[in-house]
Amino acid sequence: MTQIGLPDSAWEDVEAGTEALVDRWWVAEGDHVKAGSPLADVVLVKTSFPLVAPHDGVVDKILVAPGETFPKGAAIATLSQG
Amino acid sequence: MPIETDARGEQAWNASALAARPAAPAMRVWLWPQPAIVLGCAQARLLPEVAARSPVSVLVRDAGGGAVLVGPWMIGISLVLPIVDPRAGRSPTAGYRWLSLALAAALTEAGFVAQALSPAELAEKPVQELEPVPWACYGSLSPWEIVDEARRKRVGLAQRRTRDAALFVAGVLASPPDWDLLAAALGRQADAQRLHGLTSACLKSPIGVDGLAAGIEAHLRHALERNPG
Repeated sequence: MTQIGLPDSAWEDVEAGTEALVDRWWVAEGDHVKAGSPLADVVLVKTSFPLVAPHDGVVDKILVAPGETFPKGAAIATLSQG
Repeated sequence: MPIETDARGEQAWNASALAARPAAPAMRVWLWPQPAIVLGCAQARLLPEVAARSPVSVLVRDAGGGAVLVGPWMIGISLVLPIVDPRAGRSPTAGYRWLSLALAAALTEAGFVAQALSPAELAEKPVQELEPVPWACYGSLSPWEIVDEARRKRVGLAQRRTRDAALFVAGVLASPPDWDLLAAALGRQADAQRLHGLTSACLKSPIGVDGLAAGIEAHLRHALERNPG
């Protein structure tokens, strides 16, 4: 199972306590995805990032809903091997 | 040369330049003859209600941050850098640094106070500061945004990063915007006065905005060539 989230490098110099926001999901639980396909858009420090699938697989769990925030190190979804 | 556009034209160029996976920097400096409200990507769900209240067109940008009122009072900059260009930075915060310092230098050269707030300087919050207006881009401060001598915002920044490239957008408050229009469209009329207090335009009126935009563009193009990353 792969945890999906922002890499630690994205949080460099970000004020402690700041959280990122899930703007939208492009997939739903159970969807089959290909490596590199978009999973979600997240926003941190006025910066939007498209998060993409690191490998082929199935979206197992979506852990953070659109409009909700998450802290550094948190997974926002899990992806199982396809 | 600064390009006159509308908000949709700028957004289209941004999306196209980012998707093109550029091997070299690409930049545009924009002027908006017509006002428009541009919501941050995380505000997309507000679009129907804001559009219903607004006397000007409303759209959503791909980058983060709060609502922006573009128009004749603003100079826009779009800069796309390959993600491997050192000026794009390793993180969002680091990525803002190069454009911010170059823009602050351009404004200083033009005779305006312009301080680029590093993350450490941003953290030194003054005791007496107006409450931020979080729904508006110019209602709060983020790392490397540019302020005047009273820490009032002059330049707002936003960014979109992909695996291949980073898009930086900046908006310079060249002359005073119609904050009342923006606040009313967002249904937050009570915040308009605070937006006046939190921001500082370079010029008193739109006269001179074209010349300032041309000066900013010349400075940034020179800086991009001088420091090829």
